[in-house]
Amino acid sequence: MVNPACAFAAVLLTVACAGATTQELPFPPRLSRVQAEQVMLRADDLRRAALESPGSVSLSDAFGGPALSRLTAQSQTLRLRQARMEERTSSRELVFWDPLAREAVLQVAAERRIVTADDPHAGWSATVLQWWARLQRVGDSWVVVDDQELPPDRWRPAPIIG
Amino acid sequence: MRRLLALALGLALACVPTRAVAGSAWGSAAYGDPPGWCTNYSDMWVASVVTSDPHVGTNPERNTFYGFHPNPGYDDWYGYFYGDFRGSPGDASGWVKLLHENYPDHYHWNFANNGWSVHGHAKEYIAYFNWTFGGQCGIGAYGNASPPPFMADQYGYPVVDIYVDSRPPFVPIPSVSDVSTTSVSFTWDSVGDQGDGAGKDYFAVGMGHYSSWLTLGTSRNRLQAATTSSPRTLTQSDMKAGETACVHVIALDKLLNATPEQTACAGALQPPPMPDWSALASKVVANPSAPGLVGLDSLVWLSPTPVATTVHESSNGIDYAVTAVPTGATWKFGDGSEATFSDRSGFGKPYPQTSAVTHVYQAHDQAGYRVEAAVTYAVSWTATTYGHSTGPNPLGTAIVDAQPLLYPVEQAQPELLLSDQVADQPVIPAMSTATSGPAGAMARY
Repeated sequence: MVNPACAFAAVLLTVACAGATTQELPFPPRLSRVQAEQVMLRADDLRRAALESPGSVSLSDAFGGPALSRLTAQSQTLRLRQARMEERTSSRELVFWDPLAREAVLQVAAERRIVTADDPHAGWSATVLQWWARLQRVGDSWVVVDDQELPPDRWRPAPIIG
Repeated sequence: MRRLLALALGLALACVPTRAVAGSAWGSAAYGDPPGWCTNYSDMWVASVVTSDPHVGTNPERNTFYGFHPNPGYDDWYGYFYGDFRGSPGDASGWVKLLHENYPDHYHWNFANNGWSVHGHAKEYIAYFNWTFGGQCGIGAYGNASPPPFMADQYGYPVVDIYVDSRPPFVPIPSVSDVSTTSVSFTWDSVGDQGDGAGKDYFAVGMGHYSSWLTLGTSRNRLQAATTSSPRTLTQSDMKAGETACVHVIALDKLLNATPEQTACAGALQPPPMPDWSALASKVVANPSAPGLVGLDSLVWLSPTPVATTVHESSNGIDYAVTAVPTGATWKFGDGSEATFSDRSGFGKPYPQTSAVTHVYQAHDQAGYRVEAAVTYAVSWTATTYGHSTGPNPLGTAIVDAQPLLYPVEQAQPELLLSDQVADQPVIPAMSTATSGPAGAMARY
C-alpha cells in the first residue's frame, strides 16, 4: 500500500522533471450520473440474469475485462452445480458516482435465495449489497470492467429521501 | 549526507506502511487468515453477504462440495470460522471437518448443519484437505511428515464475509404533537437500528424507513399511508366530537427487520366541564343603609366588585384554563321593578362614588324589600397540550346570583337627631349554588 500523498508528490516530481515534453492525452469521454446509473442498472440486470439462469445470458454487452471473466466463471460454476441465485422485490439506487475515476456504487436491496435440485423451494432471505464497479468505454458503449461487492464498512451512505 | 539519507529512508518508510498484524489478505481485516491457509490454484472469489437470516440461506459456498476425484482426492472438506457463529462473539472454530465426500457425489453444508447461527459478523473459510498436492504453499508436501495445507476451494467462494442483522430497529414511540377542537396531529422521534451480535462482531445494517398510517375509530382503512426515511407528522382534520384517530408506526432497517406496530390514539379537544362559579357571588350593599327612605334615591352596588377569574382544571390528561369575565348584571329591587345592565356599570359603585345603579322606593315597607342581583359571566377555555396553547374557546354563560339584601324602607319623618344612630341591616344567606352546566349553555349559580 502506498500513501496517496506520497504518490501524488512523486507524480508531481516526475512531471516537473519531465519538463515540457509531456504529451497531450485524448480527453476521455464523460459519463453523467444519470448515464452511469443506466449503465449500472443494465449491468445489474444482466448479472442477476446470469446468476438466475446460468449459462444462458450473453454478458459481453455490459461487462468486460476481469469483471466479465469473473462473472462468467461464477455463472458457469452455478450451472455446473445445477444451482441458481434468484432475486425478487429489489430496490436499486446509485449511491456513488465518481465521473473522473468512473467508479460507481449501486445499492441493491432484495430478497434472494439459492435454489438447487435438492432444495427447489429454498426460503427467501432479505439482503442488501453495495456493488462497486469501474466503468470503461469499449467501442460505443460503457461496460463494467472491474467490480466488487463492498463489505459494510466500506459502504457509501445512501442519500436521504423524503 | 547522512541526514539526507535518513530523511529519504524515513520518507520511504512513511510511504509504505506495514500491514496490520491481525489483518486478512482476503475479505474483512478483523481477523487474521487461518493457519495453513493456501490460496494457490483458487480463483479466490471473496463474497460479502449481508442478510437478516442467521442461517445464511444465501451463503454462496453452501452447495460447492463435490467429490472431484476418486480417493485419494479432494474429499475431506474443512471450514475455519471466526466471529459470532455459535453463540458468542469473538469466537474462532479452528479447522473443523465439515464433511467427507465420495466421488462424484455432490454435498451441501451450511451453518444450520452444525446447529450454528450467525449474529453480527462472521467470516467463513472453506478448504479441502489436500493429501495429494501438499506443498503447493510451501507447507507440507506429498510424502512428507509435515501437515499438508488447507487448500482454498478452487471454484467456489472460499472466503465469505457474513454480516447478519436479524434484529429490528429500536421501537418508535408515536405521540400527539398537536391538537385542536377539530384536528389532532401525531408524530414520533427517530430511532436507530438496534443491530445484531456484540463486541467486535456487532453489526447494524442501518435504518431503512418508517411505515406509518392513520385509522379512524374502529375502521381498519389505512389513511395517509406512506413510507418515509424520517419521522413525519400526520394530521387528521375535520374531526367530530367523540371521534378518535390512531397513528400506526413501524420502523424497518435496510434488511426489513421490522418493529411491532406501535399505536397512539387521540381525539380532538373537547370543552371542559363548566366549573362551579358560586364562590364568585358578591353581596348586595345599599346606601343609605337600611332603612332607606321613601322618595329618595337608594344607591346599590355589588361587593366585592365582580372581576375576571380563571380557574385551572385537568380533564383526560389535558390542562384547561377556564376564565369567567363579568359582562353585566340584572337587578330586581323587590318592588316589582328591574334593571338590566350589559356592562360593568351594572355592578354599581360603593358610596360615596356615584353608582349607576339607583332606585327610588315609592312606598314604606317595614319588613324590607328583597333586593336581588345576578351577574352575567362570559366563560371561555384554553387548553395547553404538548407545549401548544389552544383557545380561547367559548364555553358558555354563567349567571351568578349575588347575596340579596332585605332593605326596609321608611317614610321620611322630621326627626330631631340627638346622636348618630345606625340601623340594623338584615342580610339573608346566599342562594345555593347551581350545578355545572354543559358547554355553550347558560349555568346559574
